[in-house]
Amino acid sequence: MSADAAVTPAARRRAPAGDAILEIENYGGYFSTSTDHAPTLKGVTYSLARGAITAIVGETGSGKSLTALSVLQIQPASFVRTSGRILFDGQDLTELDEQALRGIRGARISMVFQDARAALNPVFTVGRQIADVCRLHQGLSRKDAADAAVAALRLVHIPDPERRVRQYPHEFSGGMAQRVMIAMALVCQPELLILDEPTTGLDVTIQAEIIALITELCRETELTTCLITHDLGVVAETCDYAVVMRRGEVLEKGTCEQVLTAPRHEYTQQLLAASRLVENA
Amino acid sequence: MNNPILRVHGLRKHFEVGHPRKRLNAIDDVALDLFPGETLAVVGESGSGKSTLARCIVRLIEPSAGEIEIDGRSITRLGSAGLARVYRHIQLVFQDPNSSLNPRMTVRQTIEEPLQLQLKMGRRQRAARSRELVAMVGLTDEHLGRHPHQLSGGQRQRVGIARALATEPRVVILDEPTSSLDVSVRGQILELLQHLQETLNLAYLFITHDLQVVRRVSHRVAVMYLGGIVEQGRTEDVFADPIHPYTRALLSAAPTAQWGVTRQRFRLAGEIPSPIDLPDACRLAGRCPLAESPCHQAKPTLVPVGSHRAVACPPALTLRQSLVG
Repeated sequence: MSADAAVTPAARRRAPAGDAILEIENYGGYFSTSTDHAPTLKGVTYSLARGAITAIVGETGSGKSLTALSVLQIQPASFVRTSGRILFDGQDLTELDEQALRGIRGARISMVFQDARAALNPVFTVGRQIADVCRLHQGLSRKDAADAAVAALRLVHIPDPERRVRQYPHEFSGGMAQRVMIAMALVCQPELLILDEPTTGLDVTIQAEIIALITELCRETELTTCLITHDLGVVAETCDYAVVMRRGEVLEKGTCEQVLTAPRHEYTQQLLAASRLVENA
Repeated sequence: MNNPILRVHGLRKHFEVGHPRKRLNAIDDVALDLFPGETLAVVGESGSGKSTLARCIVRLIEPSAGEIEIDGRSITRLGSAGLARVYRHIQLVFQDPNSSLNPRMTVRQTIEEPLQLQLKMGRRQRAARSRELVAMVGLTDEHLGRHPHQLSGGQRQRVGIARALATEPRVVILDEPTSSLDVSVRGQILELLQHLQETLNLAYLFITHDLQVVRRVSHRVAVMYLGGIVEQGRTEDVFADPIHPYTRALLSAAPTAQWGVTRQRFRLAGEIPSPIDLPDACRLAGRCPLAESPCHQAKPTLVPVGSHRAVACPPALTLRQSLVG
């Protein structure tokens, strides 16, 4: 019986040493709506290695999501950039116009948001919503796009995809809706996948399934993945690299092993202590 | 052992939903005892009925059947005047302090309201007591004049706790008091709750889905699945040696923040089913690797294991016996 509680050493993961697909350099700015225009992001610098899973760790207000939204240039309009650039495959995303960005969003960089059921449109079937992405970015016919939607749901292990594509978001549970979001993000075979707290709000057993799915999909295709989370347990299980942020600053970055086994910053040590209550209590 | 301060027996709540009317069993025959000075955690995933349970115990939701006793006196059939007197002894702290505090009331008004209504205190007494209460939860007099929007999430939850403690209750029901808070703030609030329990000898019924919180604060734990308790026992026993398949799945699903270590997962098939029109069978039977044909025919009841433990799963208990001896 105690076999469940026992922990087994995982196969040692070696962090892929790919070149950087995305480089964020000294990115900073403030919200024009704040009274004192205090900087919200202070010289954020990190890069995402090609083919690796990188975790961005931090609590509420650390700027981890704001930075990720800036990658797609969908940050709130009141955010004013004061410094830095975001290089994707050599081009600065902060300099691109809307038309060029539309060719990148959803096609080359896609994003999965926290609350899947809020991110899906309630009045269209999920099949239609996935097919729309393919028709827009890949110019597929209605028929081919519908087939691609079924294949996408099958890829994320949703049972009975032929029937499920005709259903609406409210007919999906939270975990299944998050699978749909992942299917939608992957359908155009992007080069970079950003997941913003993909399991927050899901139950712990469902979270385990979603994390296993993400790991499987990213490892198989060597897809570069950026996983934004506040949960160090999730980081330990899935990621190659970790970036720790607090109050708009990067405090620490390195391989996941370094950050988890030899955290240099006091804040990382505190976060680790907080997440290890279960094991050490 | 002394007598339980809160005793719940045979509690049921069903809702009639949809057209044609179907029965949703939110709570299905729940029994629990809470003793003075202890924390009993009720843990379960969304839809397990744990929040409905909290609300039924104080009759914010009227239970369909069952008995609720506080300090040996039944409150099940009390009218509103009788209930109002009972609420002095049993208070609630809610999950989201943003929606459970009145945005138009200052902290002082929020805390003084129960002092005036329940304890009929005069103005001067109220002022003294409210200063005492904010100090107790780690705030200062300066916070008394503020409105909820001028406080941080952690400070708001402290106000929620101060309000609950105003009438010197003996039982506090905490419905996910830390789920909307960041990890570092969560630790501070849990510390505060533990300190208050020790100084005031409070009994906590702690509703949560967070296993770390359970492990840290509770003396005993009851695991809920689809409206029923499937396993209960002392926290350290349940965590060290979970017996019910659902408990095993739940505990093994939590990721560990340690490098190079992966838990062996005890996995259940599929997801939690809809609680509408459930058959008379084990609620987990469709997902459980241990399920046998009797599991599909009758709902198992809690069977005592030792003196502090109870588990509702005959196959797991049989398996356990064959392993032990």
